[in-house]
Amino acid sequence: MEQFSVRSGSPAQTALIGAALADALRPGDIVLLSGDLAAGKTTFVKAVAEALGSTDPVTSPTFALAQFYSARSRILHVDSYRLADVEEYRDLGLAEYQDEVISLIEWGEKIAGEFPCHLAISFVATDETDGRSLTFASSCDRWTGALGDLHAAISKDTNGAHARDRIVID
Amino acid sequence: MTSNGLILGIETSCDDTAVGLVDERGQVVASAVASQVLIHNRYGGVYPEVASRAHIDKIIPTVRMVLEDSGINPRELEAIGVTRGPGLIGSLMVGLDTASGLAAGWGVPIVGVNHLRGHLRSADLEEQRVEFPAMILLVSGGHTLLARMNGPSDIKLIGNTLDDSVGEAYDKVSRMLGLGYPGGPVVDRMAGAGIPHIPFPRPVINHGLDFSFSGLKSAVMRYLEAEKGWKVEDVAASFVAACMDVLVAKCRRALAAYPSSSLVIVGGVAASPPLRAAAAQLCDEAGVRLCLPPLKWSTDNGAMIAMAAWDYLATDNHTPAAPQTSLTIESF
Repeated sequence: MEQFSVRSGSPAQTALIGAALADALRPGDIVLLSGDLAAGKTTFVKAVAEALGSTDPVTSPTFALAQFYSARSRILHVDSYRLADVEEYRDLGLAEYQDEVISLIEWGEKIAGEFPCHLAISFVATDETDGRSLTFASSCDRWTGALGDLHAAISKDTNGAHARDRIVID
Repeated sequence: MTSNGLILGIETSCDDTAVGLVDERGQVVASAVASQVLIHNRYGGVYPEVASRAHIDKIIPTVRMVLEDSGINPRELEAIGVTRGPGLIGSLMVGLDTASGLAAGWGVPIVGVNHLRGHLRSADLEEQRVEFPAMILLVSGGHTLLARMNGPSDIKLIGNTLDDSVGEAYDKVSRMLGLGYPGGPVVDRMAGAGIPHIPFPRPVINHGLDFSFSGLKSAVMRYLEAEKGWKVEDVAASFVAACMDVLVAKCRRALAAYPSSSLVIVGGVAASPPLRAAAAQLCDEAGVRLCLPPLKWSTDNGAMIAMAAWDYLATDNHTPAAPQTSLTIESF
């Protein structure tokens, strides 16, 4: 398991982190997003989609369960909030698309067992208003090394662009 | 009875498997909704089981129930209308494949219907209520939008949610307050006993016709974490007040920009007593007729799909029964 954490002080900073992640993503990748209600998961997906050049409206898929967005690499935005288990996820029939798209799955920890190779990102509110701690973790070969590059890219992008609101790398 | 002049509507786009039989004037001959089993979800409250498998199990018995209830000969149907989107591909395919098989077997025409158009047309089921031009507010778990209707098929989207639907905000605030699922009725009930003294934000209330409820949801979460000794009733009342202020402000602005004969509210949140009261007051002020269809047609059903299918036939629109997972309200 490799992992790193970053702190963001605002939704704008979180968006920069999302953009850095977008650069590292490729079709077939599975990203599982976890965090409480209002932790910023959908906002993060919005940032990733925009950074991938999508102009589709990115809205919460809680009721729809899954939405596709066209982008440089097609995006599948899933929300497991209303799913009871992996079995229900399988019944949605999304697996056949997942090799060709970038999958961003909210409440992804509920169905993590379905994805032996995934990147997990957890969102935790910090004491600051709108502050978040984001932890990136993976134990899959796909992300060995790539996680270090992503860490470096986040530090560079976010600190360079917003020198005043430095992101603290734990 | 004869089935001349009847359309069979089939809906499987999300959680419900639903079938309805509707004549050209919108009279509902039969309607059945197989709601999915409620299961306990350890991630918070009780949620409807969602699975395309369940549609597969339920679709044929639901069709059979409607046919037996009405006693019609399906070979005489005017057409079958079936939801082609928006929705989940697996769920949509169950309805589309079933409808295609039935249409071929019975030798009747089939047309693919936009689910959202079904919601809009649900307002005229059983009784003609809508006076055109009409302003439509569709508020549900999956949608929060404003549309302008100049006629049954002439629809323009003028406002949409940028993030969460209002129904989703209700459900998630309900969970934060430990009130369970579905959140709408219980949050409204609690709100009735509370004082709306907490100044929650009214996102994007001052400009445009688009909605945003994500920031309001976050503000409620922050309040619950930061404050001590809050009363559930007061939080609910303050949250509902914020929702109503936004919904009414947007409707008022829409009616000013697009003078309308009627304001129509459809979708599950149309059941909300505070929304019904606020809309009645707005329509009184604006001199506009308020149309609130019966609540049974507010949630997903097959009759509304059949109703919309009549519009497709009337305009010679032969949209194929092919899935389209993302459709806007203006699409067919």
